[in-house]
Amino acid sequence: MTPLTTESLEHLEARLEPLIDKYKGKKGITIPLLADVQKELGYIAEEAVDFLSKELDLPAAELFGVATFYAMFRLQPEGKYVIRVCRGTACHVQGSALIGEQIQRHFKVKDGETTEDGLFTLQYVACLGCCSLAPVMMVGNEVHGRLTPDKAIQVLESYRTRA
Amino acid sequence: MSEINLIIDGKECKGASGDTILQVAQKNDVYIPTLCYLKGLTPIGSCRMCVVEVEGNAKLLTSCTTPAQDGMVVNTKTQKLFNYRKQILELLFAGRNHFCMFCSQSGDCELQTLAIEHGMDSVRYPYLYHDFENDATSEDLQMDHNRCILCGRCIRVCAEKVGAHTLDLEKRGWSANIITDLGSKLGDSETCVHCGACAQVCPTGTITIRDFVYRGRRNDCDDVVESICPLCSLGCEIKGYVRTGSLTRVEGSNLEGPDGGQLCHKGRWWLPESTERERLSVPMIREGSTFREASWEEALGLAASKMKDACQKGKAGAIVSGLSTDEELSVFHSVFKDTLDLKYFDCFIGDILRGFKKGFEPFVEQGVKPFTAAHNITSSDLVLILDADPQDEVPVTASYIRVNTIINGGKLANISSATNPFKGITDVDIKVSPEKMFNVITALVKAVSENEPIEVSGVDKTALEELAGMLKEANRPVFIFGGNFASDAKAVTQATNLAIASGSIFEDGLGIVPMVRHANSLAAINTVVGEEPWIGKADIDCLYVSSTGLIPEDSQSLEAMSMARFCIIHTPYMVHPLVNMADVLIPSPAWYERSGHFCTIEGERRKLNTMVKPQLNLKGLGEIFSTLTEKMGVKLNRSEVQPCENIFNSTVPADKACQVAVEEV
Repeated sequence: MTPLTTESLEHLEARLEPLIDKYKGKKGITIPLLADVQKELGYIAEEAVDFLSKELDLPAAELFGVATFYAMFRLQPEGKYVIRVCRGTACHVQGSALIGEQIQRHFKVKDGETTEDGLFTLQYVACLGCCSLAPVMMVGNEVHGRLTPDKAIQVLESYRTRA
Repeated sequence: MSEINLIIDGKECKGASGDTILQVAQKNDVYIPTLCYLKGLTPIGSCRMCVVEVEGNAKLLTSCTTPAQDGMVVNTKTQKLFNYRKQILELLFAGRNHFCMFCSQSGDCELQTLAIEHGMDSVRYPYLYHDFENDATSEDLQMDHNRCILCGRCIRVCAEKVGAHTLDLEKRGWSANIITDLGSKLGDSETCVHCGACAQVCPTGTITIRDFVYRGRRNDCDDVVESICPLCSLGCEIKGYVRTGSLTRVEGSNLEGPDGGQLCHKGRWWLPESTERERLSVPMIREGSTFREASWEEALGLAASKMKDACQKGKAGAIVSGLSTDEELSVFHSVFKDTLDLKYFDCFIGDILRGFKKGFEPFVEQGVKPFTAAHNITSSDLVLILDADPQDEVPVTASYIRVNTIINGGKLANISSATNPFKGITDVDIKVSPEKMFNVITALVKAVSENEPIEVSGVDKTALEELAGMLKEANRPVFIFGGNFASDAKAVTQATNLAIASGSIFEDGLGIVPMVRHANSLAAINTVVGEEPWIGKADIDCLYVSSTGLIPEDSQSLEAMSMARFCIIHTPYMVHPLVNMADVLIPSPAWYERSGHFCTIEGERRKLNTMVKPQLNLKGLGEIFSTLTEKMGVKLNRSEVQPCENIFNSTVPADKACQVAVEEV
């Protein structure tokens, strides 16, 4: 889990206060509560879970268990650019696994994780729908096709320079 | 509850409606293999080992979760089921690293036992698992996730019985794993209370207790003795595994009781450790700054002469342990009260028992029992803690409080002079200095019974008002009286008034749970607790001290020992700083070598059994004292006192209790 920055920590309690009023004393609240936290903070922050578990008498371990079970919950903030690497059949045949591995090595992240500088979040997706360009990845809203592992890194580094 | 009839494996079985198929089978001695099921915990049917065939139902049903119905015909031992179970075992073995030869629990493992039972000699599936971590960060426990079968017993016992909910399940599929808190290490956990319940229920070698591994498997032990834990007034039922004269493992045995067979950190670790501690094996006499060995004759002779002189001057005293058995306390009473008639006679931290005895006296006179069984905490809607630290004093009650607050949704309030013992889950927390404690309770009594406005200077007014409101609303509040709090008898009386005003009525008495550290609390009150405190105040020439060495002596008593001119210390262990105070050391049998009875404050008599045969050539209490009194030239009078007389017994129901006036301080 990623801790919040000091700046947002100060406002954390104020931002989560409405959630306590909304959920206090109710049953079956774990998933909607976590969804609301993610809506508010962009991801499930450690401090937020700590704070809510104390305020709502919910075991922190239970909240963590549910947050890790469902793919929709993020335990890290999303990076500025989301890299979607296609792992569909056509891309797989064209070697998309190698591209994914190279990105993992280069940026030291795994599937679903965000780089330390907060720039990129790596996601494997099932199919991006442009198989003729295989192997393909999306960075933000832009599509990059006919990649090789080295070319993929070049493309991504160009985003870093742009930022 | 109506009776139902089932046919299980052709045998006619009787059960009660509401039972599961497994419960009916177990009641009728029909064996069904289980793995994730554990008596006392909510069944979840996750391991699928207990599947059975029910005639008329095409599916296989998990017997631990399927309610039994009248007329059901159940088969538990068909070839189909056998193959199915064997396949489950193979999948479990393929799921993680279950290579028994490298596991400390081999031979003591439920998974292994079932595999042998099902003749599982190979696994037909590829080992696709990836490596998990071996979490060795905790001082007491080791958690090797590679051995885990995700049965969830540890999670359930931690949540449902201990109430800590430290453990839970993260992720899913191949990556599913047991986690601590927010994915931290077990050693860093803030919520773990180190009770070891997770290790007790773990069916494999995942969670193990460092002190217990490689000291003998359960089956290899020479003896398994049922006894009770002597470390606090709850007296949890224990099962001790003994091997080569040493207690290798302690487990809670009352699985179906309210505590679910849990023990606390004290019982789990202190008890087995006690058999490995350095013993005092022969009498010793102080010589300068060291001790020299002496014969029994010489040591008792010296003790007798010093005691005799001190008795003549009226400066003799005795402090005995509240962890002594009924039988021992009778002997102490015979010697020090009926024979020597000492003015200074008390037990360690006797102030607590004296405070409870005096504070409850007006209500006992009304015929009302001023407290309730500790497990009733779990059926309460509000728990108010009065200057107590249950996790330290009587730890299993802390579990009841957590379960009641987190699972049952009860409220929790705390008034204390120290830090809040349940930080994070209390609804109202009021900090009060010890001097103001009585005033705060008085104000609360008035606010609850007479609707008077509540105000105590220096105390948070809104919090007090909120608490008064909660007390008025509550139907079954429970009050926890701490040890520090109990030393003031008036506060105890006033707080009992508060309980009556708030309608804290339970079937067995008023809803009060006193935190008593003495295992033999009732007998100590009946035999050794003096009328007035004297420890640390009286001028003592010769002080006799009997300690079990199990719990550290309080500073006040230690100070009294250092002030006394001559100290006779009777103890099983070379325990410091106690032995430093001694002029004569007399060895005594340790708790595991003794047998006898303990009386809980509720009047329940429980038997302490000998776990290990005494190895040393020690003399019993009776023999020592008949020699001692003989050498002092007095005749030993046998005491008539009844240690187990239930002075708190109720003659009228708790709702007949009336408030009593307490003088203002």
